[in-house]
Amino acid sequence: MREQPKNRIAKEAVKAWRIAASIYISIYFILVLASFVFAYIFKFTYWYSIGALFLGFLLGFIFIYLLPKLRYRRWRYEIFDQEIYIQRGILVMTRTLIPMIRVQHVDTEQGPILKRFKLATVSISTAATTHDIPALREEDASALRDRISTLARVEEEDV
Amino acid sequence: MFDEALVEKLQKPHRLHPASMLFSFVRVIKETILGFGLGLIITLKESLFYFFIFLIIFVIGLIVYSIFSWLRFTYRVEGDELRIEQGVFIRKKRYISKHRIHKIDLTANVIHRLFKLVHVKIDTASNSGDAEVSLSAVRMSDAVALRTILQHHKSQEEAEREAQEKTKETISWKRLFIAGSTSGSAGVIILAVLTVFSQIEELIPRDLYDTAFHYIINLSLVLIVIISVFALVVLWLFGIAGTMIKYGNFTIEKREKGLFIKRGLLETKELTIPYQRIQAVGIEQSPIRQPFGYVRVFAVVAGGSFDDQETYPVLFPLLHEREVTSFITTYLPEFQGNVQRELKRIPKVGRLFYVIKNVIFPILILIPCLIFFPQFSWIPLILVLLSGILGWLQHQDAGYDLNGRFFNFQFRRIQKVYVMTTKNRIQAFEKTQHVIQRKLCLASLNISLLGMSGIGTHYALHHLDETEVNEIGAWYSHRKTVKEPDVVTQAYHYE
Repeated sequence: MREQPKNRIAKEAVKAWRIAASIYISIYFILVLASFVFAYIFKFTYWYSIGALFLGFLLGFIFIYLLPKLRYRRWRYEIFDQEIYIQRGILVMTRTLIPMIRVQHVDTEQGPILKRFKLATVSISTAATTHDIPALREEDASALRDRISTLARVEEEDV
Repeated sequence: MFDEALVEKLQKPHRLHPASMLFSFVRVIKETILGFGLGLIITLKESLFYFFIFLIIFVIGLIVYSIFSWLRFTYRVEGDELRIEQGVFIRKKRYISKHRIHKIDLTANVIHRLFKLVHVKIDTASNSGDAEVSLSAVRMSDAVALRTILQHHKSQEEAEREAQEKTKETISWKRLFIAGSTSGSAGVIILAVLTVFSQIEELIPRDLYDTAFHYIINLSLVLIVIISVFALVVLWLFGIAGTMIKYGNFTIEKREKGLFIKRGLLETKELTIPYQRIQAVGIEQSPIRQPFGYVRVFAVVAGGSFDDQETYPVLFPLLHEREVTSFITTYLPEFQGNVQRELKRIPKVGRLFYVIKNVIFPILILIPCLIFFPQFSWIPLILVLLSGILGWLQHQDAGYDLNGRFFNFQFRRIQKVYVMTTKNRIQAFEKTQHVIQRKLCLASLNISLLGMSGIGTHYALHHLDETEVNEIGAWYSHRKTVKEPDVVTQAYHYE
C-alpha cells in the first residue's frame, strides 16, 4: 500500500461536483435572502443576515471551488485481477483494498447531473461494506462493472 | 429411524398451541407501550375517560386479531419442505426447503414451561435480522420431531455415539457469582432507574413528591450516606441476579456442525453457531475484571438472529486467563495457537493522539465550567484526568500480530478486547492517514468483517507505524501472491 493507485477518475467530475455544490449553496443563499426579508418586515438588525451572507461566500468558495478540486486530485483507483485498490479523502487519506473474491455485486448509478456529463458512479459491494468510485466516463464505468463482475465470478471460496 | 407416526402427523397442517395468541398479544402490548409510552401518559393526564375508551377498543381489536391470526397460521412438513401459511388480511405462504435451513433454535420462557411448550426459531442463510420462521408456541414433542425431520442428517446410532462422547462445559455457580458481581451492571441499572424516574416523575402527586424531598433533605448526612451505600449494595445484588438469570446453567457443547449453547435460568435459550459462520473470536476484559484476570469469550457471527440483547453471542461468560487457551483449543481448534500472542505495539508518538482524542471533549466541558461555575470545576477536572488515563491505557493495550493467515489484534475502548480473525474472513482492508499522521509516519487501519446484519462488523486500530500498516496491507493483498489452496481447505475440516 505504499504506491498510490494509477487511474484517475474522469476530469468532468470536478464540474459535476461544482454544479451539485452550487445547488446546495444556492439553497443556502435563498434562506439568507429570506432572513433579509424577515429582518425588513419584523424590523430587527440586519447584522445576522449580513454575517450569514459572508459565511455563504466562504462556504461557496470552499465547497464549490476548493473541495471538488482537491477531491479530484486525491481520488484514484486501480483494478487488478485479484483486487480493487481505491484512494480517496482530502484531510484524511484513505486507501482501501477489496479482494475480488469478496465482491458480491457491482452497480452503476447515474444521477441527472452526472448524466449531463456522461458520467456514472460505480459502487462495489462486499458482504459487509460498499465502496463507491464516483464519476467515471459512462463507457469506462460499464466496462469496469463488467470486468469486476467477471473477475469476481472466477473464484469461489467459503466466506 | 424415529417415530414414523410423528412424521405422518407433521404432514398435516398444524396450528400453533393456543398460548401463542397470548404471546402475540403480550408482544403487541409491549411494543405499543414502548412505542407510545410517553404519548399514553400524556393522554392519561388529558382525560381518563378517552384513555379508557381508546384502551378498550385497542384491546378488543387486538384480541380479535390475535384469534384470527392464530386460526390462519398453520405449518406442516411436506416432502423436503416446511410449509407455512399465515396472514389475516394478506395471506402469505412460505415454503422452505430443509436443505436451506441453517439452524433451528428452541427457546422457552416461564409461560412456555408452564404449558410444556417451546418457541421454535428457524433460520436460513438470509441476512435479514429476524428469524426466517418463528413458531411462537409448539408442543415440546412436536418441536423435537420437527427438528429431527428437518435436520436429520445422521442415523440414530451415530447420534447416540456422539451424545456419549460430547465435549461440553457448564458454568459453575461460583463462576456465575463472580461474573455477576464484576459485571458492573449497577451503573446501567442506576441509569435505567433514573430514566424511568424522569418519565414517571410527573405522574407522582406534587405533595407526595415534595414531602419526600423535604424528608430526605432533613435527614442527616450520615443517614444519606448509609442509604446510598445500601442502595448501591442492592443494585449490585440486582446485577448478580440479572447475570444469574441470563447466564444460569450456561452450557457450551461442541457438535459436528457448530457450537451449541444453552443458557438462562427462567428463560432457556438454545442457539447453535455453525463453525463456518464464525467470522472472528474475541476475548473481552472489563477494567473491573482485569485485576482478577477474568475474561469473557464471544464470537462475531455472520447473519441470522441470535439474541436481541447481545450483538455478539457469548461463548463463555467468565473464564480465567489461564483457561482461555485450552478453551479455544477444545471448542474452536481452528483458532488454536492464536490466543495470548506477543503483540506488536503502537509507536510512542501515537500516545499523544490517544490521550488528546479522549481529553478534548471533557476539556470542552471544563472551560465553560471554569468560567460560570468555578466551584464545581473539580467534576470535569476529574473527567479530564480519567479520560487521559484511559487514553494512555488505550495506547498501551493496542497492538496486532500477524500469524500465517491469522490476524490477531487488541484494542481498548473501556473494555480490553483481543480479536482473532483470518485473512479470508476480512471483507475489506483500509488504511487511513490524516495530515499530521503523514508527517509523523503513522497510519490507522480499518478491517470489515461480516456481522449480524447487512452492515457488517468494523474494527479499527489507530496510529500504527506506517510501514507496519503497509506490511499488513501487503499481507492482506491478494495481488502477486501465490495461493496456498492446501492450507485453506484443510482449515475448514473439523472432526
